[in-house]
Amino acid sequence: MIQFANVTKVYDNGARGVDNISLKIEPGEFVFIVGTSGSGKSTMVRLLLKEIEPTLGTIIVNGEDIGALKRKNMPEYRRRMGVVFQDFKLLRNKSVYDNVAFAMQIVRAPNKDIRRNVPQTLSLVGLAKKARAYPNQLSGGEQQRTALARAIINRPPLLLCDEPTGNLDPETAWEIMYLLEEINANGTTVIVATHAKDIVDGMRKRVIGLSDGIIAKDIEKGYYDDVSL
Amino acid sequence: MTFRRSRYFFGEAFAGIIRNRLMSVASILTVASCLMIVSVFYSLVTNIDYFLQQLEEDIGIAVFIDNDVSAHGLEELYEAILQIDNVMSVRFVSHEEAFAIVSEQHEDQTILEGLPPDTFNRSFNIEIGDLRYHDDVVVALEELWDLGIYNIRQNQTIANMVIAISDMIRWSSTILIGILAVVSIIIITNTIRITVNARQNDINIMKYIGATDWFIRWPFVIEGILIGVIGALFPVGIMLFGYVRVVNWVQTNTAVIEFVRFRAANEVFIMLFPIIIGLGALIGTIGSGTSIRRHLHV
Ligand SMILES: Nc1ncnc2c1ncn2[C@@H]1O[C@H](COP(=O)(O)OP(=O)(O)OP(=O)(O)O)[C@@H](O)[C@H]1O
Ligand SMILES: [Mg+2]
Repeated sequence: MIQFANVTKVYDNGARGVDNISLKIEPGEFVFIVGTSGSGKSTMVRLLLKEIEPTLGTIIVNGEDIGALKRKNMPEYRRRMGVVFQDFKLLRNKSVYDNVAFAMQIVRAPNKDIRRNVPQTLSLVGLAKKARAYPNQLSGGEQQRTALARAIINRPPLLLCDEPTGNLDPETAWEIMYLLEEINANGTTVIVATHAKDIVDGMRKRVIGLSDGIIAKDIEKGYYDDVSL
Repeated sequence: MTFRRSRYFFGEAFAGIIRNRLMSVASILTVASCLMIVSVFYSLVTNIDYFLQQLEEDIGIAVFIDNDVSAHGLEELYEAILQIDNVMSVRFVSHEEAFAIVSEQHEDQTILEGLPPDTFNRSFNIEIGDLRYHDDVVVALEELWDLGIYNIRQNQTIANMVIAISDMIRWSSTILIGILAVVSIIIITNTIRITVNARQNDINIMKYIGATDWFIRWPFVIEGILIGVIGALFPVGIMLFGYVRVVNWVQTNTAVIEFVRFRAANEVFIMLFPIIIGLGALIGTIGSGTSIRRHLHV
């Protein structure tokens, strides 16, 4: 489903986001991307979203070189993935409900589906009571869960989560993880960038470790602290 | 655009106007003032045109006929004049009628006493469709001299003056309206640009989630159109209220234009209102379109 071939991202200021990484993720996989702060996790997510372009190398998604993707096909490409951004990226002047509904509006979902699915998904992430609140009235964890609800509402085949539990207490964090696992069990490919050691160790999924933009390890059923081979 | 989506777009557009109320009100008032000036000018131009039309009917050409031309010759001359391009109508004035007209113009009837009835030449009074062709018609008439024309009385100077005045008014009002439209467009561009800038972050987020360019653009476009159309409603209201009053006032308080008629209100409005509202919508579309292209990058 996803293939990085010798991908390097050098930012405008010369900082290296990722450095010549190559990897393959199959459909239906659940993958953790771990690494210290600044190791390149978000860069990978942003490359996949085509928020930024690689300096070198090719990224292939569903057999398509996304570097060659036409501008007019971008919306459709992005609709096939749900993204939980590290900084949430919620629309400030829309309520929780409208933020989540927005993802359905852009795919022209019928109103009746929106009215049914949005409350369902909000209760799934434990936000039913906050539907009318605005992002600036929410805690970090609540914003994160709003972002997650928005990412999963259209049941995309690929789910990218950048630190989806960073602001959550352990209990909620685990609930979210179980939710992701369930979504994954229904066939969605799930990629989670995180430095939550407990969760990675508890889930026993594939772990890709980044270090200074280089893939330091890639282990099936790995642990956070596994050392490279 | 389905109903469901247009409801969303209009909702967003209204929200944009309200969030940015100060600039929105400023733009609406700017558009309103510009379109008000356009309305006033339109009313002036259309009425001056109307006056000219009334005047044109009086500015004809008179062809005086030799006294020795026979009834048959008259017939021939009449047909020849009718053949000339841009001649609208030809009216025959007999000796008796000419005498009557002259005697009407003189208070002292004694000087006319005893004069033979054919003292004053018969004539053809010619009405021209468009004053611009006055010269051409005169040239064509001069070719007919041999058919028994005694003299041609033309109104070239007046015709030229009338043409010059109406041309000047048309041109200056077109230019002024053009300038005002540009000013309004600039102001709306600015307002939408401020909205767009304030929402740059949101726009990026929408793009990351997979919103199409048009899904993002529509609310801004509608916001611009709304500003333009709301702005246009002010002059429409003012004209509805004021046109007849102003016309009545001018007619009762100024003697100069006693003899001319003004255009009826509904005759003015039926042209003016679609123009004003269309212009408002157009200005809004161009204004928002410009700022979207320059600042939205979608
Ligand atoms: N927009 C940017 N401009 C310049 N440099 C950047 C930019 N974004 C990231 N970087 C640099 O790229 C490198 C990788 O950053 P990235 O955000 O991918 O790290 P991360 O693994 O997500 O870190 P964290 O765990 O803190 O989220 C860092 O050195 C960072 O300074
Ligand atoms: Mg990051």
